[in-house]
Amino acid sequence: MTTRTLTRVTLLLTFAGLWASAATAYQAGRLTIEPRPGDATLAARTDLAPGLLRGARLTLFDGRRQAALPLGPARLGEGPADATLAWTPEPGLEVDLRLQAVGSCLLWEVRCRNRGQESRWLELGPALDLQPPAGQAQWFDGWDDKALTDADQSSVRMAGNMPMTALWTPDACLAVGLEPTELVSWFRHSVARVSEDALALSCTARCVVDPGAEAAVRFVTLATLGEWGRYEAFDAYYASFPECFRAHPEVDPRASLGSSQYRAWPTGSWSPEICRRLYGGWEWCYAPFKRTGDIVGRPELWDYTPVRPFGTRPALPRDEYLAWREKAFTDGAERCGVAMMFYIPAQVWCEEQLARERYADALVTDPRAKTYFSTPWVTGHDNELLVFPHATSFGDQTRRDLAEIAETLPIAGFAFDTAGGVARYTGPALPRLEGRAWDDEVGVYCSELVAIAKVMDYVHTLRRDGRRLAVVSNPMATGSYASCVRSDSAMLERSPWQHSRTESDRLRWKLGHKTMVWWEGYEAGDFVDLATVKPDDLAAVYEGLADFTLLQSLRVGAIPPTNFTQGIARLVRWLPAIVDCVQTGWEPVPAVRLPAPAWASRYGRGLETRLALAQETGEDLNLEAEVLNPRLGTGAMLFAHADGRPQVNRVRAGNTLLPLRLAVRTPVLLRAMLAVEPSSAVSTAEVALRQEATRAVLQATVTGAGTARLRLATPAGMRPTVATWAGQPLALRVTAGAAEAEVNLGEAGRLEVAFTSDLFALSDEALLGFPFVSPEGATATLLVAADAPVAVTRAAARLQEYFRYWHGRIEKPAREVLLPIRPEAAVGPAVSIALVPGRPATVRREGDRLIVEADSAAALEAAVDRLLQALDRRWWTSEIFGQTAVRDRLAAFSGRE
Amino acid sequence: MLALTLVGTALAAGAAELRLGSAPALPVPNLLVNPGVEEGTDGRPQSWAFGTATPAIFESDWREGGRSGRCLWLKARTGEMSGYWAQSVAVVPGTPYLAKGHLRILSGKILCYVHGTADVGDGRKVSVDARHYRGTMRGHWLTPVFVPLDALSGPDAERWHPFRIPFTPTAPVDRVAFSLGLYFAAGEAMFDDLEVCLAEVALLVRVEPAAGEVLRRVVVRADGTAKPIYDSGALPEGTGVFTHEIPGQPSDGQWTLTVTLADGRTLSQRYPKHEGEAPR
Repeated sequence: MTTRTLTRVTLLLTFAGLWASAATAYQAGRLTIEPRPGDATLAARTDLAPGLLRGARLTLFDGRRQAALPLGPARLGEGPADATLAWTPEPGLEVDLRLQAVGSCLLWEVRCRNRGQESRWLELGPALDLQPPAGQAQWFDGWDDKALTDADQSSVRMAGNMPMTALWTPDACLAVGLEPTELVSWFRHSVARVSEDALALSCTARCVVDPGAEAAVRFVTLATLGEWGRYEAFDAYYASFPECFRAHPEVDPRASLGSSQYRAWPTGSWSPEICRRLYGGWEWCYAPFKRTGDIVGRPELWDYTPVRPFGTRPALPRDEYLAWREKAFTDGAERCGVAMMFYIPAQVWCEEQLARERYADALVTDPRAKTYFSTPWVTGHDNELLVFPHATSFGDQTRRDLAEIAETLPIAGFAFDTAGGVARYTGPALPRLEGRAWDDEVGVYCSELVAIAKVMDYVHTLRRDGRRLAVVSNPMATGSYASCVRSDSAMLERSPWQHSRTESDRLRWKLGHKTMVWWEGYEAGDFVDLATVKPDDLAAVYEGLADFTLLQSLRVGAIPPTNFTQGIARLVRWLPAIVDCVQTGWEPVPAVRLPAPAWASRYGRGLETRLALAQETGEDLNLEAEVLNPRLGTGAMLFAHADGRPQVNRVRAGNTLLPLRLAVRTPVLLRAMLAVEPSSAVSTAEVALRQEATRAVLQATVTGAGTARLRLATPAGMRPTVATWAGQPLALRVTAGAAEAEVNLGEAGRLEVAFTSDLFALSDEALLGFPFVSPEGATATLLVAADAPVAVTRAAARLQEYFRYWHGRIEKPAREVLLPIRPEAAVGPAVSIALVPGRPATVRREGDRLIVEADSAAALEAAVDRLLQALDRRWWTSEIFGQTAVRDRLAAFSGRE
Repeated sequence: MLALTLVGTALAAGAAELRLGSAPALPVPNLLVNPGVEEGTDGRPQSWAFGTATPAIFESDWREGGRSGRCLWLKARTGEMSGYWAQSVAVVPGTPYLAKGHLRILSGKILCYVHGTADVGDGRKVSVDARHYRGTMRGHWLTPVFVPLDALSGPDAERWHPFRIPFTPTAPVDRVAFSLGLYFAAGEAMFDDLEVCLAEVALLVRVEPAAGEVLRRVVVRADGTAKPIYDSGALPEGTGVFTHEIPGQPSDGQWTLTVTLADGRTLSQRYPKHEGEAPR
């Protein structure tokens, strides 16, 4: 627990805003804690709700004696130099507390030193003493909201709990939890009644301190607004530890896209375009090894007798198997442009013979966990045992294997299946493990979550092609917080309706702003009898499930992968907007008030704000949504529909009111386009953004009074060029990355801002009208110099593939169209592709020549990505649905848009 | 064969005596206690235990209108967790068994399963895990807004549906649990007339011709199948008392023994005689 496993967090702790007043009062956000010498209770207060927070204290419990351990009088400034308070609860045990502000959280680092002869089993953590008004408070136990009762309540759901508990009233939310990178094997959230009108809200963790050793556990406490309950606490938590709730900045960004879901594993004839068009950025390359536990395929471990017969591929000789594997990864990475994730079962499963013969010290024997599969599991032909992949012989081998895989295969990361486990390890490596806990069933143990977290941390230390390797995981909603904190993105192995409508929420909360991806697929056979259902009924089921997927994807911030999107027009049309929202980052506080049963989800803040609003009844709803602008940034935010349609905005008391019609099964997605300061200057506005591939125009009719500063959202990949106000030129300046201008508001002032692409130096008409192909076949030549670098030939191959796919798979009747790739063209249209040092990426047209240039391989790849997306405006397809009987109907499905 | 119980006997005046029976006799004993879930108090059927990790989402009680008497009703308010009524029974390793019963699914997804685990030493375990899933989307919360009611399929909620789960416990598994419940889905289901029994019996055939009669052929057919499970072919002249054992027959089957005499007459006998559940 003392080891800081994430470097970025260490830095954060060092440099975050620490504020201590005369070394006696610590403040973070809206919480102030003041240690007092000689008193076990710390003075605590929040200005949000005077009287709600009455104090704070550290609690300590002796697990061997099964009794609370009074801390005794606190010594201020007498412990270690950096300690806030120190105690000696009894001879041989020293406890000190260090308080520190991290963002809007107060960090409690509790350190225990054992000077005695016997190991200490302790349970410790902060408690906030609260006096909520009767009937006004609710408690979040890490999983569910609960009403307060006269009885004490607690939750020890290691499998799934948020590492944070919260209690809130309409005025304030108080929360206690673990510092998110903290690794503990056991923690408990509780709310206990300490008197008739007072409660203690606590998060405690168990730890084991060996004689002569020291252990530390880090907790956080916070006070924040109360309106959105637990979500207010999450908001403060995410903001205080941002690195834990966003993908690692140095991993492949494709890890934050959707999954290609086996369209690139293995690759097929049309894989590259299917993956690209359906935003399949990463592949879950299932079980790319012969023997579970030997992911490299080492020669000394190759030959063994499985309990069930090998399939065709694992039965290959080692050389052939490894050659197949390398080709499969290379095809996916290079031909499809997909970030290939090498599947591992989080390294917690190992083939039985291998585990017993070589890694016996790693076996997990938790009597309450499933530790043995005698039925087909990872490979199908092995029986597998649960193992502990850290600080054991298997853990050591795991590190060697992960490093070797990273070095030898073109992967972007590892796909961690079964990543959320919390089984208890009690084997011989236990004494050297951090994060140990104890219980009365197995004694001292270490949770599997510690080992999985360590493996994930190790993966992030590995590099390939200048990037850190990514962790894409499958932790399930019931997965541990530790795995979610260390994942760059995660799948939920569920469709949006499985188990319950909100199961996905629990994973989303632990992931914070990171990408989440649905898994599975429609499995319509769960709803209808596939043998007898009529095509129209079946199509209606698919349409309904697709609509529900659309709504839930926007509600919880999940990208539907290819099993959900392929061939269903409405979802494919919405997919870019969904991906844009998810990559902007789900926000726990919607900051939108609207009447039930409508709901709102928010992505981003300030001018990056996206608002998704919908309802799930069978009737259209007309309503007014109120956006709480102070929660989003400064000024009054004015919104347009993300698809370009105009939206009416009314500004009252600093908030933006949005009259909306929420149609059945149809979401509304809005984007902040303008911020007006001061907000009191604006009263109404109608805002629209007309966007094409190469240009965009923002149009707003604004009514107000007085001088106002307008800040503009700039569409991605564009820059503002010309602005007018009331028909007159308006000077724009760029401040803090946003274009802004001053105007005098009056009656229906008209703002118009033209944006132009920073890549496309031509119009949509010129681009989409370029004669790539004619009815007779390929028209354009792809010009690539004979000595062109690989990046250029790859760019040409992608364009060639684009039209091969369109005419070979989508166009009917199909025909083979291959744009020739040549060093020069004699006559006719041509696309010239080149790397030109020092030249910004550009796509422009000179007569019958389309020119694509960039100054680096990465810039050229990005330019081609955008070029192909722009071409999709003309050559758009929903791709092809698997079932012929409903294919045409789903390809035309547009819902009520 | 330890016991020969002859249930089916046909003896026409002056005709051959046909006896079709089995070892053990049918019906085979039901290993469950309180199999009709009639006995019990406070909504808890005697000898059955309910298990789940989240009791708060489940409700259970008796309902009138069972297949026989009252039946056991179970409801899950959410699909957060599964929950099961279960009873364990002793079994002989290596012997085929059958778990069966009747159910009605009002909504959600049921799982009935037989499961047991035993250590084989070295920490290794063997297990039995035989399952029967059945589900319906009637009453699903996606209907009718997202999924049209007309399109849905699933077993008729107003009828009892039989189910059967064959299993053979691997040595040394000598005890298994028969569990009935809702599988990670909000829903309601009812269960009745449950049974765990031996899956197989040996059919015993005995035909004794009357004086002057000559046996020509003996055939045994399972109900609902055209192909005989036994056909003696043409019997040699002078065949006296004919006996034959047919092992491995389903304990919930029904059969017909047909004997052809040399004079062309045919005699037949069904076994068992009682009206039971229709064969598979």
